[in-house]
Amino acid sequence: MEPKNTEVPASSLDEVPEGIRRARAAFIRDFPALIANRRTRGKYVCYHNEKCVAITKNYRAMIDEVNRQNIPEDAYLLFQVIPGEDRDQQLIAEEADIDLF
Amino acid sequence: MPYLLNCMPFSEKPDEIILRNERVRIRANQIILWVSLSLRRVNSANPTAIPFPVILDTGHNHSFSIHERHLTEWAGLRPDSLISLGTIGDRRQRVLLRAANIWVHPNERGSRERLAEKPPLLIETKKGIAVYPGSDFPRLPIMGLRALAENNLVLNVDGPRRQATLRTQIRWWPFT
Repeated sequence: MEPKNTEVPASSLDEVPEGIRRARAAFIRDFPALIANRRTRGKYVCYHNEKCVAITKNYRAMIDEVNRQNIPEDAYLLFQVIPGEDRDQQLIAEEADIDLF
Repeated sequence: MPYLLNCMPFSEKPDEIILRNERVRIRANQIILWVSLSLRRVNSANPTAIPFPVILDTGHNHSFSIHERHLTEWAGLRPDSLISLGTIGDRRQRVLLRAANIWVHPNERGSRERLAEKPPLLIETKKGIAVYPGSDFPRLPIMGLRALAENNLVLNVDGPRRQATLRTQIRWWPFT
């Protein structure tokens, strides 16, 4: 499926867009329920602002779903519901220092 | 079974690769992969993209790191064309995580520079790629252990033969 909504808003070239911050915060908030639920554990979820708008079994299917729903590029995040993902996302949310090397 | 590296040789001596008229130094004992990048909502590799070398570094704990010049000149993507997913601190600087998909172009068995006539394989990078400012660090783009682990890849390094093999698990669904 061809992507439609790929424009990056000029206001968010280097800053993390508000929609993405909200999506991350919502995922962290919902993570205990997502990991406890057999329907979502291990799956891919898409958060558009504060709302989970898609659940798929694989990443490419999720890309297709994001394109199908034409979700704005600056307002969604994809996650896999696996142990530790909430901790990683919390570190990113806090802009923590991480030694990559 | 799809291979991302098929008996990829790595040398005990430093060496060079020519990429778009640029001499790229490969140090001794460095394993390289050939990759291209795309926007995150593009579900297939760009058929016109020219693959570029990256170092496979299991000591690197993010998926993929690259500096702005390589992103622009090698990957053909302006940094500001990739949405910012977050920032992290590394080496006393802020590093942006930008949304992109990574495509690994498999090598021809036993050859470091010839690519197999096989479709590129998608590496999921849900947390984005780390884009360092400027043109100094990292010296070459790096694929880290997180990319291998999160994509259920299997790495085998054959020391005596100085070859590396990276493959998918059997019947791994993203590559069907």
